[in-house]
Amino acid sequence: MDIKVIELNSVSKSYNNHIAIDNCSLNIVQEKRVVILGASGCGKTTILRLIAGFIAPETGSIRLNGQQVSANNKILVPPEKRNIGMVFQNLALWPHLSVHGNLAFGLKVQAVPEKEREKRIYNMLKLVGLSRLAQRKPSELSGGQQQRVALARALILNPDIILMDEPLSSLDEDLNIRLRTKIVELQENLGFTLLYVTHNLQEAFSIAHTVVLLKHGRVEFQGSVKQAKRLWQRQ
Amino acid sequence: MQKRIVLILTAGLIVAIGLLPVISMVLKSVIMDGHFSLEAYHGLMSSKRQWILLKHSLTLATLVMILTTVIGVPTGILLGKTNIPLRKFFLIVLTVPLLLPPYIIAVSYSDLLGQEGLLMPLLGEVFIHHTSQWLFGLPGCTLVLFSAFLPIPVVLTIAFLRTVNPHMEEAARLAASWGKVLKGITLPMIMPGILFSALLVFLLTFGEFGVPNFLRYDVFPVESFIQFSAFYNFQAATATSMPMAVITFLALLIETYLLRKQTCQIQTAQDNRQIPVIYLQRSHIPLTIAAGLMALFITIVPVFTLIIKSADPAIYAQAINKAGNSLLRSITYAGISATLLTVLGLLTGYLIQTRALKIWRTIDSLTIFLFALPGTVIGIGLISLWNTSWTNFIYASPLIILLGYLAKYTAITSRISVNQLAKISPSMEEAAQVAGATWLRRMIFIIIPLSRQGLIVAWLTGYVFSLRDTSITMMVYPAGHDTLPVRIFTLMANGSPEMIASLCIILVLATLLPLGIISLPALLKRPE
Repeated sequence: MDIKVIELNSVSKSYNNHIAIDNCSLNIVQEKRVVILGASGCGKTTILRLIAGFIAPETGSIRLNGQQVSANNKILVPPEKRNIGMVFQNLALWPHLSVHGNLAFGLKVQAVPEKEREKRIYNMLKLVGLSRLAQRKPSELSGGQQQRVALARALILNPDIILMDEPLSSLDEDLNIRLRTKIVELQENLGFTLLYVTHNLQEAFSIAHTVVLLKHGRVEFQGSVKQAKRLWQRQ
Repeated sequence: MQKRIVLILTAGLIVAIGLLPVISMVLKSVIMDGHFSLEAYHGLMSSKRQWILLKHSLTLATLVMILTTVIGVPTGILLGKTNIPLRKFFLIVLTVPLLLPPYIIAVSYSDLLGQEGLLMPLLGEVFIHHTSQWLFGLPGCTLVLFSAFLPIPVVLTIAFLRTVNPHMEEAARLAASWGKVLKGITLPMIMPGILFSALLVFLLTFGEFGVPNFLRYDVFPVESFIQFSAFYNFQAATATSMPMAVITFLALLIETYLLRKQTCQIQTAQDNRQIPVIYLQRSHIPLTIAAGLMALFITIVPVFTLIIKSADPAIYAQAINKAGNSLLRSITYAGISATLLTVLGLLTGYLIQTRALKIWRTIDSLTIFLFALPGTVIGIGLISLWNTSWTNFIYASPLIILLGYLAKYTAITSRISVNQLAKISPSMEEAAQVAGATWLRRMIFIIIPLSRQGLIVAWLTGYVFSLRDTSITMMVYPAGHDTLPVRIFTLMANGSPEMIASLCIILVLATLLPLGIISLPALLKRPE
């Protein structure tokens, strides 16, 4: 039986009288890659921020792994307790910390012993191909390298869910394809649930198990990649 | 939860430090012998002298506001937007008066143009008699406060010019010369900023105490001080303070409803390209000379007058002997105050920038109101609240001076923090939050390191303003805890002009000390 990891039930959210999310219901199953596809301003980032717990839904509720985490304008479980990793659109790498420091931060918060911490950082950097760059600052890395550090930082705490907000939008096509492949590979090996947001059709179809089409804050379509492609062809 | 508790405590602290004294002052002014009484206000309103004082205060404030704006804004454009040579030098020199208590500038003009001034042998007794008459009164006060507050519109104009999207001006330049572009595009876009700086100068002049007192021009803050310190008439002192509080409040309403949204943050325009520069051709020589003359008369001449007047090393020895302990106290109090102001400013700035509490706007407005409120009013409020047997440990200690500085200057450090925090993407903190960090941890390990530059600027600014403060300190300092600006002020009555000048130079050096220390690593850094 597929276990629901993320459940949005009739969630709505508006900003300054503008409706960002309109009565949205979504179920995301464990260990799947779900891509939310939509134009700029359709509410994709808002959904991620609702799930992460940075904002609360005005109506409706959100459950993670069966536990209600937000409902009716209240955040019941704060972001730091939701066991979520996130790759932000602007990556949000801390410029004053090295690659090592960016990865170590969350582990230190969780009071992971030093030996264990160093082992996990080493393994993660090896996984993303950045072992030799541990002492560099983010400003000393290329775009693709920064991307991988952001990914590593999101993964290092072994979260159940990873949220990605258009992480590859600023990269050239070649790098975009390589990193997409890497993301898929990591998800299959590590088994986390991925919720990925993009406006790029190719990106969506190459990553997703399930595609969700969002338009003006509403779910217009949710289905497999095959179904999504048929829908696009018809349109 | 942690965040909410800390920010609520921060807001509570600002209310306790700033608003409660003002409320206490107002209440005590209307309660006489346990009964409600408006006698003090009745006396105030029916006194012809009080209306004359109000007229003097408003006249002085209006004149200084107009002069500083009319000259300061073009100067800001000249230094911020043209290729005039030595721009940075002129800007630094013109900003120096902001570092000093305004009455020091009054002292230097007196040393230059007064009866025993440096120009006496050159200009003769008759001429000096006229300049002396002119100096001690409205014209002299206007000149001194113009010099003291000119940096405000200059610096704010430069800052607001940087918020204009370069494309706007470039689009206009395709059709018009720079003169027309400035008039039709740039100035209208930064007009809210110009009006804000004008309002700020008006309020600071209106509440200025030291200069009118020294130059014997009777204004409201001076009267308030005299009623309290000479006659111990607390009710009269409070009543005299009320018009100042009311005018400040009205000005704040204007700022809130007409200007606030447009001037809230000074953020550089999103486009990373440099702002378009006006290339001066034939006019660069006369404009450079004009800028040079301004720097000469506003800063160089006053400072050099003090240096020349105090040229004898023996005078400095005498000055240190007379005021050494107050110098040490000044630096200590200013250092402690700057640290507290930086912390309080960061928390307040965070509250305002993130709008973490519903009362963020109220707290923002309150800090600005307290900054604009004359120091004498804040002083009277502090005395009114803390002069009880229960709180004597505050009232009779330097704590009361620190409370005064926190009340008055939190607005500055909080605005610096707001601007610094606005440059940090919210996702920096959010990334730490999803990694499990508590709010305190996020502040210590993410926000504070990323705000380092702003915090240093806030500390230095807090230090300068605390060190130069006279009006609050004069009102509240406990016996034996006077600061150097207060000691100079009291010595002006019977100290020699040479010793006063030397103490002023010592104060200037004490002000520049941390700036020098912080700049040292940058100066010593070898070019790569």
